[in-house]
Amino acid sequence: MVKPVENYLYFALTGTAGDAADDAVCYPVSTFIGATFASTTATILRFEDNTANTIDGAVSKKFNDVTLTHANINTNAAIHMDIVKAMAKIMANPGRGKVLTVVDTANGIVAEEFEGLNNTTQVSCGTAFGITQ
Amino acid sequence: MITIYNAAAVINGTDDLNVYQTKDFYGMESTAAGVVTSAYLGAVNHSDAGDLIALTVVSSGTDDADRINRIAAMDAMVSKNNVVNKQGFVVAFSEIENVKPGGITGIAVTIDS
Repeated sequence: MVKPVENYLYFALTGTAGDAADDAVCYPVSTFIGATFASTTATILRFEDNTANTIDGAVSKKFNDVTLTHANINTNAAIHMDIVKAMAKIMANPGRGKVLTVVDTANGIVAEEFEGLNNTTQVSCGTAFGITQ
Repeated sequence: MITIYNAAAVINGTDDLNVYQTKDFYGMESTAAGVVTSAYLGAVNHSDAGDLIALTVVSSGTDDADRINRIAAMDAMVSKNNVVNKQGFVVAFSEIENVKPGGITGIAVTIDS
């Protein structure tokens, strides 16, 4: 089977991203399942489980988690919605085969779609990535 | 495309903001007079059962009026989930943004546990 060309989303934690296990993750846009509230200052993104068994066709009931930390709802009551809208815009990038850096906290890089949401608190990956939760 | 549901004016729980891939919309069923329930691939706790979104519409007291209201709600959700735009998302229902299509007065999300 020929795998379709698609964009990938890159996230990295604070610190020496890439030096240790689970410091950085990169997932195909098509594996995004959904998002929801994590805390008043965080939104959690769900991606399909990418363990070998799942890739081979086994049914998985698990997720890979990416938690984005952001401004408090006290500052912006709609911050969670704004974050997921920005994520949707990133995922709608018309390019094909790109690695799109969403948040690279180690290098202080955030996607331009988050501009305007960084005024009080930088959007970041401050929580360990959850692999096959 | 991403479909966004916001059930409460204050987002402080996992059932207050729920976001799904539009392709994971599995349809709707009537579940009570004046209630239509949508199903999506679970995206909060597990994905072995769906996340359910109960859409409440005005219940008039007559079966025929309820049927008409229910169809209006279903029609609105089909329309939302068929949107294609450059932004990549559609807000299906939102208390914060006062997006309440098809006569839907409120939603309640039951996430797969």
